[in-house]
Amino acid sequence: MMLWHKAWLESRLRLLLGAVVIGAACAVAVLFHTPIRAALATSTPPLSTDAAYMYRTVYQGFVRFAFMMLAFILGLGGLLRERDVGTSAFTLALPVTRLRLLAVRATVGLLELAALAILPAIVIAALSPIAHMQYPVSQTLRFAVLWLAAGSTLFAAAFLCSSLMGGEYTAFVIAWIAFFGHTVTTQYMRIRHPEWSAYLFTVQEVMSGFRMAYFDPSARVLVGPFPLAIVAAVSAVSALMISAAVAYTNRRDF
Amino acid sequence: MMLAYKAWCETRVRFLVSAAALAWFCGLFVIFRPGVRDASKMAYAEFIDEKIYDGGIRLMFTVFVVVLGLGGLLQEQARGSAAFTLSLPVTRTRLIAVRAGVGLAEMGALALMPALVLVVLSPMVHERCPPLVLMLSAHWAANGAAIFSIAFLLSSVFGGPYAALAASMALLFAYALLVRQPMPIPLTPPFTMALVATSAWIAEHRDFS
Repeated sequence: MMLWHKAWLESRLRLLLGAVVIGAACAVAVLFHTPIRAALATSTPPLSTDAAYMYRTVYQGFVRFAFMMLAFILGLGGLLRERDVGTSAFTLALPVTRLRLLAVRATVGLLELAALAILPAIVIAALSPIAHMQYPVSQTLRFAVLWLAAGSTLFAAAFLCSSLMGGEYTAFVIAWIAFFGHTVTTQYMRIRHPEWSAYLFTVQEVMSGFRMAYFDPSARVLVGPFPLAIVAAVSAVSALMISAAVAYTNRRDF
Repeated sequence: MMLAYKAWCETRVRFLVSAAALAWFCGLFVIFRPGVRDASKMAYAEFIDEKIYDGGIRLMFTVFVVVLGLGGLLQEQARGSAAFTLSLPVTRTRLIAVRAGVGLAEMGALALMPALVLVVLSPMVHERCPPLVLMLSAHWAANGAAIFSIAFLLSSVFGGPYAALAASMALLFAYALLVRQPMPIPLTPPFTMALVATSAWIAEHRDFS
C-alpha cells in the first residue's frame, strides 16, 4: 500500500494540474459555445451541429492535445531520476522487487491517465444541460476508452524513455521526438504505399477517429461497432513498452 | 564564465538532442519532399514556410524551448545541490541572468537550425534556399524567447520538475487557444526581460534552506 502512496505523492501535482487544464477547457468549450463557435467559424467549416462543435474543440482540438502532452508527463520519473536526486538507494532498499516498484508506478500512472480520459465525459455530461447543448453520453464514453488506449502508448513511451535515460527532461524530449517520428513515418508510408493506407494509423488518429473506419467525418461522430481490435493492438504496444522498461530496470546497476 | 559553463553543463544534453532532432527532421523533409503530405504541389519557398517553419516541426521547436527553460534553483533544492550553488560568491540575480542568457543562446541556435539545414541541403535537391529562411528563423527566435521566459518563470514558481513542465505547456496551449496568433515581435524582448527579471526577484526573496 505504501508503494501506491509513494507513486501517488510523486505524480499527484501533475495529475491535478492536468485535471484543472482539461476540466477548465471542457467547461469553457461547453459554457461559452456560442462565441467560440462564432470565432471558429472564421477559420474552419461551419460547426452547425453540437457533435461537430464538440469534436472540433474537445476530441480533435486543444483538449486532445493537452491530454497527449499530459500522458507523456505522467510517464516521466522513476528510479533513474531518483538516482539523480539521490533517493534511489532508499527506494531500492525497500523489501520489494523492482518489478513490483515499476508495476505499481505504471498502474498508478495509468489510473491517473484513465481519470483524465474520463474527465471530458463527466464535464460535458454535467454542463451540457446548462448550456442547452446535446451531445450523446455514449460518444463521450467511447472517446474516453479510445483516449485511454492511445494515451497509454504515449505514457508507456515516456515511461520507457525515463527508464533508459537519466536527466529530468531528456526522457520527455526523446519521447516527443519518437512520437513525432512515428507521425511523420506513418504519413510518409501512406504517400509512398497507398495500398497500405488502411492498415496505417497514428496515435492521434486512434484518439480522434480521424481517417478511421469507426468515424463518420460528415457527422463527426463515432459510428459502428466499437474498434476493440485497435484498442487491443495499441494496448499491447503499451504493455510491450512497459515490460521493456521493467526488464531493463531489473538488470540495471543503480 | 564558470556560471555560464555550469548552465551549459546542466542543459547541454537537452540542447544537443533537440538540435539533432530538428536537423534530422528538417533534413528528412527536404530530402523526401515528395513524401511529405501536400508538399509536392507547393513551390519550394511555400514548402519551407508551411512544412518546415510551421506544423509539426514548429510544435517540436516549441516543446524543446519549453524544456530548455526548465531547471534552476528550486530543482537544485530538490536535488540537494542548491546550497552549493548559493554559496558561490555571486548574487542570485547574476545566477539567474547567466542561466537565462545561456538558455536564450541555445534557443537562438535551435531557431537557426532549419535555416542551416536548408542552406546546406537545398543545393543537393536542386533548389535555391530563399533568403526568407532567415526571417522565418528570426520569427522563431523572437517567439521562442517569449516561450522560454514563461517556462523559466514557472520553474521558479513550481518546485517539482514535471509540475513546471505541465504548467508551462498548459499556459502555452491556453495562450494559443485564446489568442490564436503569435505574440507581436516588438513585444517579445520586453516580455522576456520582464519574466526573467521576475524570476530573479523570486529567487532573491525565496528561502532555499
